[in-house]
Amino acid sequence: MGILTDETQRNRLISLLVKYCNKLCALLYVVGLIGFLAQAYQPLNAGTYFSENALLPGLVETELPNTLLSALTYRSELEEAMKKELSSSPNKWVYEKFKNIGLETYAQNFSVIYPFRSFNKKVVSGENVYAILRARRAASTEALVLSVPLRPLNDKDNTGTGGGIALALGLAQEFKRKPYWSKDIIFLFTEFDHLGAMAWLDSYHQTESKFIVGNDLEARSGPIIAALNLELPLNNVKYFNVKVEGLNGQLPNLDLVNLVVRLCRRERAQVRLHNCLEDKSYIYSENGDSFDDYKKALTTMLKMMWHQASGTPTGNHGWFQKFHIESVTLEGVVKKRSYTIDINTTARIIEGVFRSLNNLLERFHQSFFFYLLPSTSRYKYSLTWYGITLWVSANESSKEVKSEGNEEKSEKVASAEGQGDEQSSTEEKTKEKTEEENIETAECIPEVSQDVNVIKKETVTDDAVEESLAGKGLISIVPVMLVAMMLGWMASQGPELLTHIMPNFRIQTEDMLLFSLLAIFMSALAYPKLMKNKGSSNILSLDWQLLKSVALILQTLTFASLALFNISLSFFLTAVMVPVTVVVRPSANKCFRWLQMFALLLISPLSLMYIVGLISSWPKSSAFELFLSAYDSCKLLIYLGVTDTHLFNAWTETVMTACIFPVWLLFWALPWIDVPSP
Amino acid sequence: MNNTGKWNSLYRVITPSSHFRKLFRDSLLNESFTMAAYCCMNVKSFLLSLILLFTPSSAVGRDEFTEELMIKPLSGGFVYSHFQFTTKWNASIHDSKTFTHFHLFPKSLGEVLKQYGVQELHLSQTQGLWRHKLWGYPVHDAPPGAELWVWFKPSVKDVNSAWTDLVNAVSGLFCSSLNFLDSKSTVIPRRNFQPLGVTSGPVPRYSVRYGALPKEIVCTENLTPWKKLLPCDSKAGLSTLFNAFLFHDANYHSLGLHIRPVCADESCTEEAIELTQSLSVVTDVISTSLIGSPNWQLKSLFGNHLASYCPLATKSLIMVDITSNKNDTLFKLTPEPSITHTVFRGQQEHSYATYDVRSMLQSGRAINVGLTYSNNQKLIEATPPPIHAHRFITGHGLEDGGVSCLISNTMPTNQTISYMDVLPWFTRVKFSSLQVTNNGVNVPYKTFYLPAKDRVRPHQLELTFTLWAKSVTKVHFTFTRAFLKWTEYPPDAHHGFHIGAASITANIPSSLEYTAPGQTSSQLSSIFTKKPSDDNPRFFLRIHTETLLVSLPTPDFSMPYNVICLTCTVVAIAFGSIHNLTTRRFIQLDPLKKKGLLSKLKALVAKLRGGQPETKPTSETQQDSVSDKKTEDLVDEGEERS
Repeated sequence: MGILTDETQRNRLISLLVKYCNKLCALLYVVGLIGFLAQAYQPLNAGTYFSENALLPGLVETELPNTLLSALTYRSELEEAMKKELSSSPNKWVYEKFKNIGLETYAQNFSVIYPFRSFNKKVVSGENVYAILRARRAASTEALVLSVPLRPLNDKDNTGTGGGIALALGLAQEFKRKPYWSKDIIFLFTEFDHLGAMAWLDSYHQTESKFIVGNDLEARSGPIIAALNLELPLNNVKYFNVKVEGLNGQLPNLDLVNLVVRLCRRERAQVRLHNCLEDKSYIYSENGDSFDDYKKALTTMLKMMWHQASGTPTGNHGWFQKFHIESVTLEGVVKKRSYTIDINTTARIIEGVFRSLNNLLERFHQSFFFYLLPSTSRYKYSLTWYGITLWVSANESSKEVKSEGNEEKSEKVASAEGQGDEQSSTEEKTKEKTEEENIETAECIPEVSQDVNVIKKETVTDDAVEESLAGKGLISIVPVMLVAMMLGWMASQGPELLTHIMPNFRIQTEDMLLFSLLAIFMSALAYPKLMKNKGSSNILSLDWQLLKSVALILQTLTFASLALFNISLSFFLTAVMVPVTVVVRPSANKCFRWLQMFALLLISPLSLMYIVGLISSWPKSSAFELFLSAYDSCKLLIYLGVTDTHLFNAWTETVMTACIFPVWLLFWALPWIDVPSP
Repeated sequence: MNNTGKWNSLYRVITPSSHFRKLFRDSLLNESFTMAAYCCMNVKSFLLSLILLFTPSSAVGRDEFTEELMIKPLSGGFVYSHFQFTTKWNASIHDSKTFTHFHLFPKSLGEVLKQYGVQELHLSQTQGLWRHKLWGYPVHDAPPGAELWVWFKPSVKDVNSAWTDLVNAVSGLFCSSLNFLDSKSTVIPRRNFQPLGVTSGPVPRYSVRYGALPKEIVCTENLTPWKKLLPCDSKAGLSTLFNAFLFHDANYHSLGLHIRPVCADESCTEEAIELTQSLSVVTDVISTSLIGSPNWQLKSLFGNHLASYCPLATKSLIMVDITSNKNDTLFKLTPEPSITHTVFRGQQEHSYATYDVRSMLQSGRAINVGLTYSNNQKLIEATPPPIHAHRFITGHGLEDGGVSCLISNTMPTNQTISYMDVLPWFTRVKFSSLQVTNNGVNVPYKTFYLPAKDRVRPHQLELTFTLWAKSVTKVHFTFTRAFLKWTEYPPDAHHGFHIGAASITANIPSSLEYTAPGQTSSQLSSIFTKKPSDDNPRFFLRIHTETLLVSLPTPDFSMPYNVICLTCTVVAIAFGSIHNLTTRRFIQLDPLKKKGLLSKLKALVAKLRGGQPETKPTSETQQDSVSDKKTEDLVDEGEERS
């Protein structure tokens, strides 16, 4: 194609791009950001709909009695049983009740081995209870799960789930009599919320886990198609929250979310996303385009993105998603002295959900898996918005690469004056190469480096420029990259290693982790200083343009691939990191250099964590208190991140330490490079 | 005489049904046909056959039909009802003249047997899963879906084609999709599925075929042709209790048909053909009853009480397994049984309350056997049977997976079993991953493994190993999921693909929860007659595990995807040419201007060949590229000629 296309025309375009590179960068960034956030504006998103026709939501007549007496009895019995033993979960009680109903009931013991050596943590062991309602006409080839976490009554951090347990029992009794089930229904009660759920799921699929060890299950059903997790307190449910965010930012199929929301609406039960009240007008696209509506929708969307970005599930449903089981949590929110949703309404909703799921002939595959919800019934297909994040970052970096290339060229031209025709043809070739880079922004690391190599070789053949290029070439930046990668690896592996190697200080594991990460971070901060070439008088002599190009390409790659599985995380990181990383460059001006360093420090993974802690503990009376509690929550965040990586194979911590951190370190080296003042 | 009494009773039962008059006439016709055949042979026998004509019972002495119903109350309020209709035909299956005259044996089936040289045939069509751990063992164990295994006679040369034809014939006979049993789902079992009937000497190893369709759905359309094979159809006898509505509402429902050669008598000098038709139903009495009571009667189980018996049957029997009713404390039967048999099978004692339907009906009452628990809260407790298994898919994701089978042995003795697993070719089994472990310790095993060929034959794995006393042994192997061609996916591609049940065969020393009769006769009442060989018996056991459902990597078959594919193709095709056309620049060249060396040379060659050079083109395309002087040489030759 090369010889068929008009070079001069394309060159014109490129020179134009190079000329306005900086302005374009800024424009694209702003446009991207605004474009993304504008998605919450009602005319720009779409109403949800059912893709899977087999669900037939709400078409079935409820077959439950008007008042589900059994559930009410179970509720009062449970309340009594739990009051007797305040600090223990009602496993035994649940087991006995299910046995009495006549279902196959089993218990599973599990223990959690603490991933770090520590002095004050013992092995946690718990017991899951599960009962299988065998579908009459099926051969146990498929299953649905209704899961309820078991919590003791005096659990301060979490609301009770007694309502869910009573409902599950009442519904099990009703469901057992129905002939129409085509899938087994597993009633699962997990102790210690996620630990129990994970232990059970691991045993169900017989996947080995190093830290959560569950006993083998006595009985199973077939592959689980969908799961509904209930977090319903005993009384006074004001409205429901539907929780969707799962492990590593995974989301359930939108059809399942729609199903739950639709059935709640049908029963006139209020359903919300992250406690955000929504207007009817916004939902039903009547005059939903006012600014107030937009603000509400944006808050909802950002809240959802915030939780998704964290990569930790908002409820027990998240662990199912790891096993390709579509699942949501229905959480009941308590508010006293107001209209409450009674247990019969909730029972009808759950019956509706299960009967719809029962209609399914295939696994969920029709609707979206990548979406953002500005409200319970409006959605935005998030894959289309890869564009924005991807292009913002990609363009930034490609422009930068180009401008570097350009500068290089001009440098070269300046140094090799009078070389005449040959030089200009080389220049043309370099231009071609940069163009190619532009075309394939995302997947061209090796190519780019090759190209750059070519450039270098060509330049090197020019005998006139040899001495000024002493510190140039890909070789010159290899040590920096290697060190950055090494430090990234250390940050991801270090804490665990350290906790094993270190003498047994009597400090909390949380502190230990934070301090070890801090130590690695501090030593990483000093690496440009340490790497300074001894020979050339404290000048970190390397090709900074090349380093920055590589760093930008790496950053783009990281964010782009991150966007594929967790768009929210990718969005937040892009929005925060890109403005700084694009601007940063070596400077002779000391003031500007310090400013850059400060900005870089601000967007370093560790300070990002602190900022997250700050945001999550925002409303505090005094600034000092805020900073203190931010420190605490930051510590907890890191601790949870690291333990989640070990226990549940969560990726957030690994992404931050092994991907974002080394990339950031590459940028960190930039201001340390000395350039001769003009 | 005895005969006249028989006839009287026959008429008494038959008269209401015109069908039976027809049936009776048929049988008479059949006999006159027989007579005609005989009279051709010699005149003396004519007289004999004349006598035969008037004494039908002696003429049909070669066929014997029994109808039996065994009811076994199970744990948790479940009830297992097993109807069994056995036709024993004192004729050799190997004799080619056998299948020329039919009496009680169904002709349609006999012709199939004859045509394809079948020695033994076992067919089961099942809905639901038999749960061994809770329900013990059924009389005939069957996996969910359809299963067919056949031994062909040694004389059949091309077994493969005989099998293909047979499955088509049988699928037509029973309205099922057995014709899908092609080479991809058929295996030749090497150790399992040995002949169940008598054989004259060793049988060729390759005359057996086994195939299963785990996805086959069993419905009334299968019941109708099946019950038409019964001598009394469902017009009289136990088959009047067939209520398709209630059967298909049950937790387990299995139709079986078994044909095998057996000994005609104790001495075993002559062969007989035994046809066993069975129908098993497990009903959840508590869930189906309105008030949630575990008590049942025939009327609540089958919607009707029993008012007739099949007049062609030599024996009509209802037996209730009351083994679990120790000291009559748990439940009570109504009406009182005719006889209560208590037999020792091995070490275990079994009790059966039997009702002789014929004599009870002759005394003029409709039969409605019922069971009442003395305490509705205190039901039968589940006793795990000696060997039971649980098989499941392990792992998650669409790349790899595994199959685990946990086989429990609750007996205090070691037990050798044979395990057979057939997996479709698209689950690519890694044989190296095969492990048989017991509590983490490797168990030695003998294996036969035939790897699959893509789209030709399935994986076949047969293992023989010992289950240690009172322990659980785990068989585990992993597989990789294949990516199918897009036309190979079924319409419901995202539903997943079914894998047939594994089967476990053993000869166990315990008859705990064991219901099947011995090897010599399939009649349930043969349990009561104690044989001298029964002192230290082994009980033949074959159980099937769960069927599995695996999802394979599936392309997105939705419309947007198709549109994207189509658009991309169109764009790719259109783009190249349009781009080429639009980015080329057409420049007019002056032909008189100095030409390149190559075109000059060409012109010279043309001149030498044809004398006169062709007229020069007026315009030439020039490929637009780096402005190089040599581009003029790139002028297309063909263009020049035109």
